[in-house]
Amino acid sequence: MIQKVTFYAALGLLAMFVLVALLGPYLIEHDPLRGSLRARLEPPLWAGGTMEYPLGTDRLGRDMVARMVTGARISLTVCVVVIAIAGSIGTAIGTLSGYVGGWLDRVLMRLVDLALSLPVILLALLIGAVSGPSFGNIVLVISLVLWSQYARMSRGETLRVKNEDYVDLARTSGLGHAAIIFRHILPNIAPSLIVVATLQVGVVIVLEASLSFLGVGVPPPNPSWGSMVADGRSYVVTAWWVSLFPGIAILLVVMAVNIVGDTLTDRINPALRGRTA
Amino acid sequence: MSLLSIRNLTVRLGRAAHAPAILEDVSLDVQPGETVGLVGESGSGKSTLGMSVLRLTPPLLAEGTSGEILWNGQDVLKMRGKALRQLRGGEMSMILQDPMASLNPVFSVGSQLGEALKRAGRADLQAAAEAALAEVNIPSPAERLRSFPHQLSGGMRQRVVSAIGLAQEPKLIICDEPTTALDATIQFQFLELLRALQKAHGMAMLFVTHDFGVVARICDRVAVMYAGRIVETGPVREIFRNPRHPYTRALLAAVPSTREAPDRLPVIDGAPPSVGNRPEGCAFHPRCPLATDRCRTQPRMEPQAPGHDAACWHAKEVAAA
Amino acid sequence: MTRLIVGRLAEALAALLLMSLVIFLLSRVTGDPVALLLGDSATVEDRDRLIEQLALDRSLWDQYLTFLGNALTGDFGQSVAAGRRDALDLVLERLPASMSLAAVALCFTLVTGIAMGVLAAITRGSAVDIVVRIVALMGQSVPAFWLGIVLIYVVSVNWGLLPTSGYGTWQHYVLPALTIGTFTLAAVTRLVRASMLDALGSEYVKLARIKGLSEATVILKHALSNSLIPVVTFMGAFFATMITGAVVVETVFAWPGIGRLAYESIVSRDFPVIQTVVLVITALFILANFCVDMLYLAIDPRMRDRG
Repeated sequence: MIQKVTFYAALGLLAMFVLVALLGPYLIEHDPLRGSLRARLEPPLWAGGTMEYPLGTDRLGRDMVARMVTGARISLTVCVVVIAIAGSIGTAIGTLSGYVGGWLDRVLMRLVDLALSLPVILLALLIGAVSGPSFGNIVLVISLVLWSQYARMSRGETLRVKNEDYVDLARTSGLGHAAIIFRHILPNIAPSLIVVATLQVGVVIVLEASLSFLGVGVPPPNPSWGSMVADGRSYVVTAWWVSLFPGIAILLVVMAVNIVGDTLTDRINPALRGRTA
Repeated sequence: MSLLSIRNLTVRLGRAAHAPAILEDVSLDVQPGETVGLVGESGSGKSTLGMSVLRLTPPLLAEGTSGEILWNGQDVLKMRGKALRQLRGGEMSMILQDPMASLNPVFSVGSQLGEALKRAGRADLQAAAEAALAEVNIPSPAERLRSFPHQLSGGMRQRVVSAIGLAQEPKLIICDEPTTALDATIQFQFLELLRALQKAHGMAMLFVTHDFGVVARICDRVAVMYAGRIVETGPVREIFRNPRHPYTRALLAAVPSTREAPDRLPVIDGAPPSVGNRPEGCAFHPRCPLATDRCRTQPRMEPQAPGHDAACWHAKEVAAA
Repeated sequence: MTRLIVGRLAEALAALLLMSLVIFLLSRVTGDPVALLLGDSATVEDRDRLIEQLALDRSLWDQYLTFLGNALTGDFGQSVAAGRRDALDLVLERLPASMSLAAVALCFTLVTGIAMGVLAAITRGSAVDIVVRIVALMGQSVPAFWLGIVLIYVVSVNWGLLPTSGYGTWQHYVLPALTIGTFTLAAVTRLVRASMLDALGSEYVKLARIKGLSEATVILKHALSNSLIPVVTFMGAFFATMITGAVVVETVFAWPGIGRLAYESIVSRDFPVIQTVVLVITALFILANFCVDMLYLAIDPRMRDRG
């Protein structure tokens, strides 16, 4: 009962996040990139601010609401692009590895182990240092961190599905390898991959925010929730709202994603419960 | 006085009075030195009965347990902490179904056996452990003590589990389908071993099984369970010759003439009802060839012959058939 | 078993080589390596010396071998920003601060996480269990850099209990260790809770109870020993999270470790130092993974008989 309520609450929150991100430009009145210097560090409405800036403004007088909404848009974009890239590459490698087996499987899985054993986040710093912050870099770096999880999962699932009767049947009836993979294996391993993807949404959001916080993520002046927290760091004592709101936004969205992900894990693949550190 | 006396034991899935019952109103006695077989299909509640006696049921079932389990006149269900620990191992012990899973994978055989021997107050643990393994026919016991469970075969592990079960010289040992997971040839060896050990130690044994063939080999008395109730109980010979419950008769008909044990009981039409889905009255009546309207009310256990009780409205007809 | 260890060792070396190759390619293929490695203030003589030193006028393969050779002798180039100091020296002098913070955080995380996981598992469904699960959920969701700022604001600024930042006394460790460990703490808690629940329902725990062992022995010896195996397998991942966290958390708390050094080097575009930090951390990371594998061999007898 309680679990159901939290699940639907989390789902609602996520829906709101997506909706805000999608409708972003229609929801906001102010330009998220340009502020008015006369309205610098305005407090939020309930702390003595005005209706003009309900969540206050930052040090350049930019509307917090506009920046939060645009930040949501950036977060969601990074999530979608990264999960699409990491998911398809990882799934392709994992499925191939599991389906073909033999030495290819051994080589590819070593590669996965290798990818898991590198502190790839530091590569992000390196890449950021070489070529400066950019949207492309973030996507590249985070995909580099995350593809291996899909590869692992899809390989294991492919091994499980590969020897099921219906796959044997398809094989004996002369279906080609590509057809077997696309028509019989992928649809059956999709649920587990969706669980991985869901749980990764939270990871991507936090990674993107952390990189942006460090200045190697979304290039300024674009408002990433992470860089907004960084912006407000020096004013925490006098203007707490600049750091607080984007942080809360990250916390809530990631928590919602984790709740939904856990529930899906329980439903689809209970063996993994609590095992996705 | 009986060694073990189970009185009106009911185990429900939780505390609520209307919660589905796994066991309903079960009464059973075990005398010192006696071997009692507990026979039924999977889902009949026979394993839950064995677990309940040692208070090993999961919390949900433990909450839903009522009735009495008297051990030398003391109610096991009321025991706490130390008394319960004194009972387990020392007085009563158990051999679990799956030898692959019942040894802890990270400790050596010697360490796991030693724990039991230490509780029994043995002075020379090494010698005692070697003797315990030798008693269950494990070759080169000193070496095996250093082995880890994954290094042993299934039959070997089940012997280790038995040695652990017997280490504290219990007065009653409960065996929960101890041979199901073993190969057919090893099953026989293991049964012979159990019987020999029981004789040597003078223990009573409660033997949970789905296999009437096994019952015939080692039991003195037998209780037949169906859908959470004991439907017939009596001496093994008497039950084999003169079953009074249609379910018992069907089970016996399913025992093949060869000594090979069947995996399931295939010859009765239909399947046993799941917990919470049990029909009114005698739970067997939807599958029973003799069923009448009367069977929609629950029959009581009635004496059929000395020591032989059955719960069936049509017991006389079964006898005549 | 020897084969297993040798195999793991070879894998570790391969990982290190791969990382060095990635770093090498990043510095050579993207843009002008001389500008990257020397900064803007370099003279023509500096440039010529660097080209000579790193074999930049020769083939990429020669350059890589030179790079590896230099790295093996501890020569990672000089810092662009910090007055031409040796990059490796800069990194090594910052290492103890980072290691001590990671050690404190890891201990805190493991002890608290295991305790909370066990507690939640044995009181499954109770209020305690629910609270632990909520805390774990939040811990897995809160971004470390933000948590650090909030803790500084609340605990140090508002309550005045602990120093806001810096390094020195034990009080300095509390907030950074808490921040850096929160995610891992949550992960350990969830992992231990799940595997404890499995263990508590297992046949071997039943057998331990049948023997009449005390509840403490059953839980802490028989169930917990098995529940810790998955924790050990995830230790490598935990260490990774801590290192990742170190960059962020050391920056927030002005902790003089290699994480902060990495951040400072990015701000000042000090490529030689960044590449050294990354290589050193990679080496540490691989070493840690290797130790985890060995630990795994030590605690799980089933592993010892393989290979």
